[in-house]
Amino acid sequence: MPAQDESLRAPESLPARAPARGERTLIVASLGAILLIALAWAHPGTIIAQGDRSPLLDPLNEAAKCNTAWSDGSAYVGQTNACFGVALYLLIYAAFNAVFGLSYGQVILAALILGLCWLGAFRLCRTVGLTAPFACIAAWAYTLNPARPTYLVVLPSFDMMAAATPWLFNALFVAVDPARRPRARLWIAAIAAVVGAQLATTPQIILAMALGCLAWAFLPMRLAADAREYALWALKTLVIASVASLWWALPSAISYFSGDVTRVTNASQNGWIFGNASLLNEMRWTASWTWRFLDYFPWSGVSDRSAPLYLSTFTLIGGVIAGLLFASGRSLRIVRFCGALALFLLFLAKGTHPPFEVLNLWFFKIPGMFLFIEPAGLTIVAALCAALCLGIALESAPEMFRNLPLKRLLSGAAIGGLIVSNLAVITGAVFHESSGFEPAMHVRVPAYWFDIARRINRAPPGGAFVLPADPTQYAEYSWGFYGADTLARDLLHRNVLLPGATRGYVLPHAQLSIERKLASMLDAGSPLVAPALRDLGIRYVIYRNDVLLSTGFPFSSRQAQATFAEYPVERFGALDLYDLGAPPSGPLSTAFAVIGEDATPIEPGDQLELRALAERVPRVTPSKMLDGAVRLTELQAPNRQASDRLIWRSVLGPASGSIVAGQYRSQLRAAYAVDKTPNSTETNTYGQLQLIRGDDGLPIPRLVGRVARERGELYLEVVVPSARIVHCEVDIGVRPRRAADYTLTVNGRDMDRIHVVASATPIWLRIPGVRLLPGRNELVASRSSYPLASYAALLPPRRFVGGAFEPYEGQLEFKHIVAESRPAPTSVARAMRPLGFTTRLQLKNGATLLLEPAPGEPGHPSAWVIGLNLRGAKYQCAERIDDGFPVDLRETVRQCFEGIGRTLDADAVAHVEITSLWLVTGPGGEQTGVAPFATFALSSRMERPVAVRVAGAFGARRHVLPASGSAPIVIDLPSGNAHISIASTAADISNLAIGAAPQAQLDEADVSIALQFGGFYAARIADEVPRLIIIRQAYHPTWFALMFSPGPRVLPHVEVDGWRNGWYAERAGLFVAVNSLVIVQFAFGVLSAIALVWLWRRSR
Amino acid sequence: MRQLFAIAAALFLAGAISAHLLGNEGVADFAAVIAFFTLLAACLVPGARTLAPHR
Repeated sequence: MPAQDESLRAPESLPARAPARGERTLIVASLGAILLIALAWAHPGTIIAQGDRSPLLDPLNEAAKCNTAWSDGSAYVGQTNACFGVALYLLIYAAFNAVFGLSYGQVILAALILGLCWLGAFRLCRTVGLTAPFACIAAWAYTLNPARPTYLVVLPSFDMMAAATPWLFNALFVAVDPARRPRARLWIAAIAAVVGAQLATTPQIILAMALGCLAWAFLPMRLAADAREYALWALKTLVIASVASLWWALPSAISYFSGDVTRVTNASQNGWIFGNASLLNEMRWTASWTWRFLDYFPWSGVSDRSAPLYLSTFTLIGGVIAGLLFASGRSLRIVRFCGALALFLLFLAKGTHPPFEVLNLWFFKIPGMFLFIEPAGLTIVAALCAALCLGIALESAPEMFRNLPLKRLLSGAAIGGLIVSNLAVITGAVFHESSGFEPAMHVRVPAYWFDIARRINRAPPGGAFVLPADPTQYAEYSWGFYGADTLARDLLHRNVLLPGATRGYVLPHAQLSIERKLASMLDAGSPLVAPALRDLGIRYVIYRNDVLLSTGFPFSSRQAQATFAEYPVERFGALDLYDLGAPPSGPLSTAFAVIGEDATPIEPGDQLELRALAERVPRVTPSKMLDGAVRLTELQAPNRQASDRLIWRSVLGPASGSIVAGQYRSQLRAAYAVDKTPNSTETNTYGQLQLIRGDDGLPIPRLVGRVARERGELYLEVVVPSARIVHCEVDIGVRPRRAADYTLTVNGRDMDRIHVVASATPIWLRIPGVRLLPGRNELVASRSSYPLASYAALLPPRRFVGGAFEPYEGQLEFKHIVAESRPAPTSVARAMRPLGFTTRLQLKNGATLLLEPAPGEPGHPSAWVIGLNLRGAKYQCAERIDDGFPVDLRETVRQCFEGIGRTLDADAVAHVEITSLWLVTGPGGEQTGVAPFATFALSSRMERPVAVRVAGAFGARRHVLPASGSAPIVIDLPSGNAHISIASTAADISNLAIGAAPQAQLDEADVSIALQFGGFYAARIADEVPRLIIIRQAYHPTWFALMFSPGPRVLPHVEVDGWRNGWYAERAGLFVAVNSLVIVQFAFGVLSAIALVWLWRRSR
Repeated sequence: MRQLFAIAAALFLAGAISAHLLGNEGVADFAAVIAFFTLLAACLVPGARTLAPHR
């Protein structure tokens, strides 16, 4: 290769250590700048939290709950879980909290991760051969790339991935020099073993990082003099790094196959993720779906409309272009490789967004690649590649072009672009205050939360059940937080059951089944809730009055008081604490259990409710017996009457059974829970929908888009879902900091001009007689200053708008809607026709709506008009529903009413009836061609009474039991044989038996635990009688138990109640139960440590 | 050829940016798609020429 082509120095010529003084100054200055920027993020007394990042107040508690590969950190019933990998991060977080306090500890730790990120990128650039100043610019370009605000601090695993990737790339690149390969291997193995574990809960970024490294390795291989040896070295390093990672990777991998997947993994149903991922946005690293939502990024609208701000986000891609123009020789090879890799990754990251989405759909079909439905990891690797190109471009640019100092100009432009594109990060605006929709990201958790945590943490043992739940993983608190609902889990040193708040991608089936059952029991006001909870080991129930009831689980405080009325209650601020008393048994117990005569599987939730009915129910089914040597009869409790016999139990469906009732107590017990028969409608094609006419009421116009432009201009997009032109009063919330004139323009016509005085807080702007067309309307409220200065505000403007204000800035309301007598002009493209179907749904028991998109047409929003009937009054409103999102109709209805200034509580929701659902077509009139979705599914629940027929020698009798009831019902039976049949579906769960109620839970005996740690239990069993030993943890084949009596004996493992771990034991002795993944974790952890020490010794 | 592609990509990207700022998202997206693939082509096509003087 000609000497002049060597525009960059080869890595072997670089000093491995001891940077020069100027370089040291750059490093110190940059790291200092990062620290200063981060310090400005902190608001003392608050913690930054939003979305997936809930306020992390007690990291040590979180670490303790995720201590081993089996933990109850995310599932009440326990599960194999990757969260143990995060323990190191949590411990460091706790240490920073202890030293710097809650607010500054968080940002200083974030600064540390950002600093490592910058340092890694700088090191990589230096290794590649850039001089220190350009390496510095490239490192900043990577560290603060425009995608960073989407995960900064709130998604720490992404921050850690961004920090680890350049170090991995650097290690792979220095290995071009054979002498430095041993040390590089040590670095790679150490990062895989230690940092990789912190990312284990987000497998998609591990995959992105691993694939990025594999692709990157081709570059140093091509540059190495001994390419074949380098490839072999890389292959061996991959194997060694994998072995070093086994301690977390193996249990994590198993955990992802050990439960029900709680997220939609189909790419075409995740189209909304790629809604903003056009190639244009990909090339400016703002393709995240959250970018479109001003709620998350209040400045994104301004950034997208202001030329300097918008241009600045193209700095990275500009670097790729400039690199291709200016680089030569070896540096050109690097630019071409990095540029192509970055573009390839950006193309993958665009997912199902056009163009060529078929290629992405094909890619998602490769095993494992569905993980990239969350594409942030790919863009991080792409940003690193592009930043490298930028550094090389600036380094390679000619000093002068004609009379212009080109290199300096370009460097100045790059630095300027970086600063401008990161103004939000540099100023701290990235952690926004209340946006009117989203609460402030600086969260101050009320003191009463700490008070209740202290109270429970000092109280007698027992788990905690937290209400109200949320059907998603997010909750909205009235004191200003909307995000992951893990506050109770974080603060309480107890096992916490929070139904609905899924955490992680997989949950044990038992957890979901029990949650569903508890939800329906609570919804029905079942008196069995408390005994069921106590059976689960729960003693404390917390009702959070500070959570906004905005969900499909509107379990009100009043309902909680009614359900738990007989238990003592304490009040902590907005929190009610009920004490249900000591649970009947602890986490480890022994029991004599009935074994079912059939192999009918039973849902864990149903079994829980059956046990709460105080019925004697089979706890083990023969199909679940692992060892045929278990003698069934020996598990029958002593002194049990043979007449106590289960004759029927059911989860839906008709059933029947014969009994001999004559010689014993002739009573039939019918115990059943509330009828919850599902009823669903499915429509497969658009054509199946019927064209109907709406009710007389007029639809309420709906705000679908809102942008605050510069110079006080508020742009509003409103959909009128009516077929007719409407006239109405439009009220707009504005905040005139000075006296001003407001002009409202509707569809290009000036409607009205209103003068307002200055106001520190938003005020209503009321414009009567606004004429709106069917379909989309553009409303622009523009402000012009009033010339008289005396009207200027005397008080300084409030720093933040929204949230506490009424109205908030940009709020829109419509009143006095009147239809124009003339029909809508059909010639205009704005015309919309209501199409759809009529249905009549009682929302009492919940209803959901799901529009499954056709493949290749994801994220298609459909506008719906919903006709409602509340206490005799008719309402209509429009709602946009994204394909692939199951929509909770109760939530939708609640939003509809909110739009007209009414608040629906749980009781009001129960009175809502949906009378019609119309699909509103897009602009252009009638819908033609392809349906906007492939499947339409609507589900609801309804109740029916229970019909029971008893037939025998005495004839036949019919009994109709009420639909809603969960207390056992007793019917006297005549003597003699009888045949009992249930004519129709009785309930989700029912139980028919004869004889006295056997008090099932009395069979259980608590066992005091000698030692328990994560997935390890040890206890001494005293009684020499055959029985089951039960651990209240979800059944998983990775559990095993030994009984030392005195020699060790492996006990047969059985599934109890459809979900618990049980072992059949005949003798007394020392009982030890272990989850084998915990052993794997520790054994491979030792192996990993040995491997790292071995690599370290070889690298010296 | 590489430089030609790179310059073309820059021009199309500039067009996309201008179209976006002028509010024409359709044109912006279209120009961005061409810019993207032109830039990819610039990375992939061979050629060693550079605008910068050799050092």
